[in-house]
Amino acid sequence: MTTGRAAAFRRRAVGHAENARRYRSNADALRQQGETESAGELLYGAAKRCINAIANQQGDNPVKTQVKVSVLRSILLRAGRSGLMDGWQAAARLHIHADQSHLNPDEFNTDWGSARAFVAAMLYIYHRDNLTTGGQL
Amino acid sequence: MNVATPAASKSKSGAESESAMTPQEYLAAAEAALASDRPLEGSHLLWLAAEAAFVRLAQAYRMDSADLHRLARALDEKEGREMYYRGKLGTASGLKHNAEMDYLEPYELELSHESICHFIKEVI
Repeated sequence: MTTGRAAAFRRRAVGHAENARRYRSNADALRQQGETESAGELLYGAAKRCINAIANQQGDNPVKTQVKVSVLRSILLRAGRSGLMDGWQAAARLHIHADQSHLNPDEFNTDWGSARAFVAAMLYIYHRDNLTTGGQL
Repeated sequence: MNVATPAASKSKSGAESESAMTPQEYLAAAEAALASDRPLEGSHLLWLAAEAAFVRLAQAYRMDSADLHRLARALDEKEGREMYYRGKLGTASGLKHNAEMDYLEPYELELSHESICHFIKEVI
């Protein structure tokens, strides 16, 4: 990858982080309205944007979900937060639920909590790294 | 925490488990199924391994295991962990659903397997 492309990805990271926050906020609002399937889908979207944000921040740009997961594994390993992988998987289940409506309310609430904790932790990692590097990672 | 109490004899999902298999035995059976390219059976056995581990934790803490979601929340609160037990229960529930729906991609199943394996080794 050229330095120019890496720099472009880093600039794009800011937008992904903003989108992640907005998606999360919209997901919360939808959930409060009882639109759980839409809310879950949006929270999954927020989780994906978090991965994009940190990957872009590091000059990487995973497109396919399987590659995102591989990048995520490296991010969490470096951050000492490998346990967050369960939160990503919870977000992915919310995505499946939006299509299949298979989660019962307890399962949905458990996955919602995990996915939301994942998004919060990922945004924390993103901002921490931004502060550490002055946005020049 | 480590627990060393008798294995659960009844699945909380309502199905009788294979009498008194331990979480480790379920895990070994799951890994044999996965290694033999039987992912749905492996998924079900991983769910049973996690479920048996939760029941053991409940026994060790003298907590009620009738509602695993409530139990996982209580364990997180008791140990001051944000979403550890709930995250593991969610992953295990996903495996239970995969046994019925076959929706996990191989790399996703591998992630879930890894997660439950770590969970069993950490708590038992």
